[in-house]
Amino acid sequence: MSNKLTVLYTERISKTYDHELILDAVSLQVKSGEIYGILGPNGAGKTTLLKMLAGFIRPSSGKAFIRDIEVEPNKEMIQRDIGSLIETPIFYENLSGSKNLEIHLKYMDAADDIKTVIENAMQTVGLSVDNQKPVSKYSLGMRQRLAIARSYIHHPKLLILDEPVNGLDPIGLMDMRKVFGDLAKAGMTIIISSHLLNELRQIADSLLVITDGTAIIEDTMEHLEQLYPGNLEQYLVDQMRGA
Amino acid sequence: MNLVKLETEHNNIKSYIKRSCIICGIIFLIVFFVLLDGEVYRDTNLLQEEWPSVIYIVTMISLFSFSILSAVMYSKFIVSEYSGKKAILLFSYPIKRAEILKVKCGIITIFSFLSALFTCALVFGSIVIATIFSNPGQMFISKDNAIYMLQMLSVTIVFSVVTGLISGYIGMSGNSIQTTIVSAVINCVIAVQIIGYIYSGDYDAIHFTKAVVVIDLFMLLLGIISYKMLEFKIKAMELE
Repeated sequence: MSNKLTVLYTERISKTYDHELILDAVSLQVKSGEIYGILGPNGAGKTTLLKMLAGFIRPSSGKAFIRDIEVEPNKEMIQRDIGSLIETPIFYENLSGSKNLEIHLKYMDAADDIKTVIENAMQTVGLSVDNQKPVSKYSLGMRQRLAIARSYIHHPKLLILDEPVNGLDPIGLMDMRKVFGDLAKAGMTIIISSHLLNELRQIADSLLVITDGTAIIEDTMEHLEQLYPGNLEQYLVDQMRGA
Repeated sequence: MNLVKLETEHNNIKSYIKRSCIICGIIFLIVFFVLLDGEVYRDTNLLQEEWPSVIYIVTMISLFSFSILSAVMYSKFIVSEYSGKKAILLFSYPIKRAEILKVKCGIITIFSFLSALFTCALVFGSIVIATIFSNPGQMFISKDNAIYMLQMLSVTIVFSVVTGLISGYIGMSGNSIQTTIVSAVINCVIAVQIIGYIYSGDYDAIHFTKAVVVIDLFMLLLGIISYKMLEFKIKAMELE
């Protein structure tokens, strides 16, 4: 893992809203092709961090880099290399799922055979391409599946997913785990946030633990499991409580 | 060009074309069945007397209707798309924010311009054609009326285009579609009052031309300022 190239890194990135410190000097490194988990309780600052990594909000201080390009001044340019699903999935509600994907691909200036790419992506996440219902009629799980499909359909190099399995049933959860694994095997770097350790334990190669806006642990999952065999969860909870 | 196509596609431009045609049809019916009463165009003298009223009413209804339509488009194309969490869609595309805004405003501007122009041209053109056929060889419109028509047409087009933009900026500042529409209605009422006030004195083509040029330039300046402020706001925006 350590020999791999660093795809993304931050230098003491912080965010303040109305004089309230939401994220405090977080530094992290994400290697190419790994699944990087961000764990923290609700309100820890995970979503704020992901929004800054994706260029959707500006850091109050510090910098984020994707492939050595600073995110903030190049936020539009880097979008070509990023796929993201942050917070509630947003769609063009009056259009069908496949039409939403088509529009996304066109905005992304994707050169592939759009129809085939859409069919494959929808099949992969378990949605029917023949379903012409507008997205407004989709269930929560269907919306989440469609949002996941949209996040990677344009073959980004970096996928940023904020609690991506929210709203999925157990089958959907397993399906999506497999999708993320396959994407990582294909060379895509994935950052996933969650407040559930067990969720990240099954798929993540590295783990960053955040609590109250502060990063308290950054290590490989393998190393953490070796250090705390059988009681990793208790150790992490203790760390989060003590921080 | 691709961006224009994408914006018109996901914002469903066809529904606005439909609404624009309905407005045009209503104005057409008002003029022919209410104002002209089916007979006025047979008498050129009577028509010359009626022309200023017809022009005034057609342009004022057009100004009001297309300004509101333009504001509705701004509320859909811009206010709703940049409000709250929805902005994430546009921010996740590898296209400069200013570029997307320029395309959106360009589409609405051209649409409002063509709608107002087409409606006025259709209504006035129809009256002229009807007059020519009913009174062959006679003068169908006086020079003063023709100038007045062009003056009012320019005011209608400029207001239709700019009122929506100003309302769009106001709506964007309040992050509210309702604010956009209400401000468009207020702007239109003010516009109609100003034009009515200028027109209330004896008509003097030269003075009226000067007033129209000043109003148009002032409105265009307001439009440019609103656009620049809107651009600044969207460039500096952060996702909620």
